[in-house]
Amino acid sequence: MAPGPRTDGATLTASARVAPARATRRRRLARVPLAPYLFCLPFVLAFLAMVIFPMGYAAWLSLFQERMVGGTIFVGLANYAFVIADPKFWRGIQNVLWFGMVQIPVMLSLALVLALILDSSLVRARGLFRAVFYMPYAVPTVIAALIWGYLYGPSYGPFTQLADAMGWSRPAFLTERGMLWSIGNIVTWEYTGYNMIILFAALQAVPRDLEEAASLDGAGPVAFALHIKLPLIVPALMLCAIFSIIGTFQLFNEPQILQSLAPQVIRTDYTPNVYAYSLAFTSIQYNLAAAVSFVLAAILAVVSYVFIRLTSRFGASF
Amino acid sequence: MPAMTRLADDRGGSRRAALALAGGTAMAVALTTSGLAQSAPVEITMWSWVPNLQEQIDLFEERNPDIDVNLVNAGQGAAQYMELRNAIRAGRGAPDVVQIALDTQPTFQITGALLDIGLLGANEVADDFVEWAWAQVSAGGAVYGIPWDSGPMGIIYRGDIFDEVGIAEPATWDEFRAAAETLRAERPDAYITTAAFSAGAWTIALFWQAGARPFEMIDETTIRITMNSPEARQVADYWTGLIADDLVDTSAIFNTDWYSSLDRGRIASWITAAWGPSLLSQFTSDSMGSWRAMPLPQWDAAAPAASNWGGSTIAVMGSTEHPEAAARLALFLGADTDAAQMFIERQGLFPVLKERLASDSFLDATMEFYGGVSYNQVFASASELIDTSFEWSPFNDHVYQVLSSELSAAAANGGDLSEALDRVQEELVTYARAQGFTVVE
Repeated sequence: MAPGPRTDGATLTASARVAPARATRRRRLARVPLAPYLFCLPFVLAFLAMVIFPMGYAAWLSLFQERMVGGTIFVGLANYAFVIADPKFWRGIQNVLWFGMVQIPVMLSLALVLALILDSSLVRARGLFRAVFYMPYAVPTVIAALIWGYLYGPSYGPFTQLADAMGWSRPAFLTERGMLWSIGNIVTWEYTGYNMIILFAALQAVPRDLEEAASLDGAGPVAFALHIKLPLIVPALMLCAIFSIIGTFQLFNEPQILQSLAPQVIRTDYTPNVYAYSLAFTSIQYNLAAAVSFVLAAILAVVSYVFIRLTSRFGASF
Repeated sequence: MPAMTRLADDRGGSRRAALALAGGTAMAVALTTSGLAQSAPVEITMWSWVPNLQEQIDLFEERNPDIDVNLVNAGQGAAQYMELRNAIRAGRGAPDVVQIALDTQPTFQITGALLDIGLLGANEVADDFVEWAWAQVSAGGAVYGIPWDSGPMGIIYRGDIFDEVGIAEPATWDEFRAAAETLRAERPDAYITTAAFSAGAWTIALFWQAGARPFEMIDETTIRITMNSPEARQVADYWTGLIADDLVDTSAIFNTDWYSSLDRGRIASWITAAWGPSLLSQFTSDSMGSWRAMPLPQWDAAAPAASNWGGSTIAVMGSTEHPEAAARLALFLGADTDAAQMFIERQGLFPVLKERLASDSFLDATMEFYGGVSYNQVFASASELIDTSFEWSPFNDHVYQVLSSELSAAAANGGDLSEALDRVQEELVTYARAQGFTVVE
């Protein structure tokens, strides 16, 4: 990156005689590096307004307690103490942990296999398959959850009708036992294609001459995929995993939509974000909701950090 | 009108509505500043989710040329309350006139958000309304809303199925249980009804009929909470028994699968409010015309009692700059006979004006849902049996959520509903104390 501008500057000075005014202006900009800041400004402003300010506001909120009677009082860290001792909060954390431990490996394995297949020389109509696999990601999650909610219908959903027609026992999608799996299925359906695209892009960057070299050494397509390609895209895979972990801890749309179908299973504490939402907007406890968000963010930071530490060691030994 | 929160997908709509509101206001401001030198009409904004309300608004504007009404649909029920709370918090953007469900009015009343319109004409129309509805909106001479519509409870049921298995309309809850047994024996694939504990409002309505009074505001900062009173336990124990013996369904209501269950006869009745038929008729095809209505079964046949589920009021916000114009609109929509008749005919609202409630045009109105017969009399009679003393808590959304969460879980898992009520009681007391109330149990 560094040599780029320098050579560019040289060309500019060379052409200065041709277009003097423009060149001097550019040179001045080069001396006082204002332009980069100006280019960043829209982002910085948006970032301040949309991220930093709301975070600051939420942090501020989390230090108070608003009450219907007696007004607002400063409570210091009491909201945090409440959240940390709140079994409902931990029930949500437990749910997303279980969810992530099963769903993320399944989804990423699927995405990886699809990406490897698409990248291999075996497949025709690659663009078509890529688009088809990616398509669920284009469906808004709320719509996806509504559609799946209909498909899961316990009495007249298509799966139930199929089971009835075949004489099988009815699937229990929306029950205490089935719900996490049902949500996992929706999330997998939605995001496998998205992860596949990231992995596929990484595979495309694997030099083609390696394939030639490997086949000269007698490696078949499977061996090539497992021993050459896979290690080379581990960083992309880790990126997908981190995104998925963050997404899992923030699980919200799917349980929120399915709640109307099974309120007895998806209770207000089903995931941390569902809990924060219900605290803020149903129970009008904005302060507690803000504290929940920050505790969740802290846990997420720790989990992500631990994951990166563990896998970087694993990546090195690859 | 189903005043309850039914669908979660209202939310996007309300955001759109808020944008529309912003756009509408901007346009209105542009219009007023661009012309009209003579006294410009007062402009007020109203939020409501009643469909096609513009028709009545047009009539109001015709009769009151000095008032311009900007009508906004900011979502139904909870979605709208969220917008309203945000507007109140922000100190701007709140409407002048707003639709609020009967059960939620105290929630806004206690925060001082609503204007007392008693002296702005409301007290003069007090006697026009059915007593229980007026009792819900007023406290002494103070009036915080004009009753708009209501939801007296009854049962709508599949006449074809009841006839087929030979069930007569049960007059008491004991008979209802016997009917449930008969139906299960004759048609093992069907249930007589759904125990709809997933809807907190439904649960409260059943308690109301049984004489439970879970909340009482002793003064402005003191509340009595008795969620697990003997009357409430009576209801809870009754349903615990029905569920334990597999006599009723426990699905969540208000979703596609459940509507299909009613339409296809897996569930033979719905314990619901006067607005139930018009809601359900949007989802029925096979069963269209096979429905009938009957009053709620009684706990004590000698002392019949009814209940209410849903219904709305038209309130004026304390923040309005045009209290008189706002009150005039609320009074017109709620108390004007022409407007009320339009609401009955066009929107299917169940009236709270005595005179409309007793009118032949209302009592004889037929519905295709009932096979061209009128059952309004069933709900009109129920309206007269509703106890006036029922009170709501000032944190109604939270109450419904806790009720729904605890009771639906107990119902689905075959648990004891009375024990679930104890947990509800405990949670609500803790919540009320955290909100600064003095709680009496």
